[in-house]
Amino acid sequence: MAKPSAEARLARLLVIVPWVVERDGARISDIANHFGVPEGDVLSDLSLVQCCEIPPYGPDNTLGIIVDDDMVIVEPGAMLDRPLRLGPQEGFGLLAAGRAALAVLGDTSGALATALDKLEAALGDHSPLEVDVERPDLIDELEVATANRVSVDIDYYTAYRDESMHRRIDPLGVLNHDGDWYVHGWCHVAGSLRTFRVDRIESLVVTESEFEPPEGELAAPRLGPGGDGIVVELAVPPSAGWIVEAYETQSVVARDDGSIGVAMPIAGDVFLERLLLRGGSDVVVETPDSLRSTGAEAARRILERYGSTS
Amino acid sequence: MADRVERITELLMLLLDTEQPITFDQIVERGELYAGRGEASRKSFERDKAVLRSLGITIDTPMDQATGTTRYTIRPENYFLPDLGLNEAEQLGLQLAASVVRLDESWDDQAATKIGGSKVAPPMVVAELPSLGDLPTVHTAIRNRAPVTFEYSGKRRVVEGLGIFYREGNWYLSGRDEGVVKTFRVDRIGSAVRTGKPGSYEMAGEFDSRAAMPRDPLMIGDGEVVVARVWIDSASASRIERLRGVESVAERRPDGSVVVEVPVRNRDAFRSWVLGLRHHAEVLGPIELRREIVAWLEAIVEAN
Repeated sequence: MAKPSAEARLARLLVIVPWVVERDGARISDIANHFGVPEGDVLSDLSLVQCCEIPPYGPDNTLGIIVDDDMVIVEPGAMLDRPLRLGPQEGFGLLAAGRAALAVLGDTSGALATALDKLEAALGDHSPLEVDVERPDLIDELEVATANRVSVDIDYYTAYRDESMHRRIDPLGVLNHDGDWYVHGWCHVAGSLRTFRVDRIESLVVTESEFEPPEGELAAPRLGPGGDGIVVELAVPPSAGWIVEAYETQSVVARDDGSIGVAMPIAGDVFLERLLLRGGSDVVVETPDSLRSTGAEAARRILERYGSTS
Repeated sequence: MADRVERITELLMLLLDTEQPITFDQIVERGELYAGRGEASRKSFERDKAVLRSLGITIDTPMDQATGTTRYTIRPENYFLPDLGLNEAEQLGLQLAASVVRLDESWDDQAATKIGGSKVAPPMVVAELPSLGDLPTVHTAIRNRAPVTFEYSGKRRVVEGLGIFYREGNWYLSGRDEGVVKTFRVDRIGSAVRTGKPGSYEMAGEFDSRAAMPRDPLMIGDGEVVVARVWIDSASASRIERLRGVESVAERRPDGSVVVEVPVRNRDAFRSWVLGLRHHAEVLGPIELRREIVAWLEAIVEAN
């Protein structure tokens, strides 16, 4: 493994020293564990800088670090004993995380809200930062079911198949990912762990059936479209450039004629129909041949409803 | 030769310790740093300063007018995190927030380590948000009331930021562009963000993201509001009723289908919403909206 840069090592030291001060000393192993750094690196860096001192070389002019066996102690009054102020990224990150936690979890004690006010005051003039996440009613029921380890029965709309299905799931957790709410759990129909978008749950009944969560660490929820994974190649006009932003793509190429060549996996015919209907007449399926007329067939089917025979 | 980390640490200590800004020669003399290597020493000093600055440390560099020499110091108030005055519950609240919310970059975790308190082992991550590199720059610029300049939709913008908000998976900047309040999606900024002069403008009242940009995509924009009547078949009726609200249902039909009424300002967004429902929806009126949908679909058929 490459040796960390001087920047990375110094940044780590400037955080570790106040962290040790706050705890009145810490074991090398605890420092290594907390900061995710090999014990040997912690020991060598701390041993190195424990010799740092500046004229006139009194106790106030050293880092005051003492490494004794596997313990690290920082002497009272040593330099750099308090944390470095928050940088723009850290200030933004902590405020954003705090506002997001307020939105998705609530704040029954009010402590997080006052903490954020104090944090913001310390950062300087007010700089409005809002996290606007709505919490649907179903989230409460899913969280209670998750905590109580009881199964739920849901009617779930599967967008890429355009059909609803009744399922029983053992909920293991809810998550707001990039603005959408998901529930992760064991699906009795599929016989495997699945992730469901909460806005596609059409009805939910909390049962009295208790379950035991699977042992061991859970696999990360699988988000994004399911389906058969066919890849289509599209020619997309700039006016439909949102397609590139909104969906997972394999390649995106700007062409001389101004259009964008896009290769993307699709979750099935229904997914492609929706995309082509929204994209309009200038979005063209180039491959595979079998899907070239998908948009037109879908448009024709809808036009029948409108009484148009185009 | 001393390890580089050791040398930069001593430089940091020296610049923090000095009551008056000191020159490079004084640093060499007092700290026994950078001695004896001429131009190479000076270059090392410049690189070490760059490292400190990369960590967010502000080095003040007043010029000695008499000699034309630059002096250096790090003011403690610019270095140390001020006491946030957090009680135990507030510290825990911030630690929990950093644990249950995951940003693409671990900025919040780095900050949580600095503010003290025990790291919280979360039961599970409950929110994941993208973190874009421009966000801290823009956020700091708003704090400093400094305009930001960037390319957006092929045009150079000079924006007086009023607030940042996150919604539906995206971060937005709201601000005055040529005197008009507009909203910009931060991931669509097409250039580096440059920050202008601090204190260049005043904020105007309380920021409200819902006033800056309506939650309903169909209501975003400047167009006239029309109320669309849309038939939804029985297969999709309950889902649409739940998403649009029971108050949107204007009519319930015996076959289980419904007619919903939705206010529309943004016709592109309306078309996208209706066509996303495919044959499960039909625009009943007003007639111009219905005609627009038919014309859009006919164009798709004709292009094939």
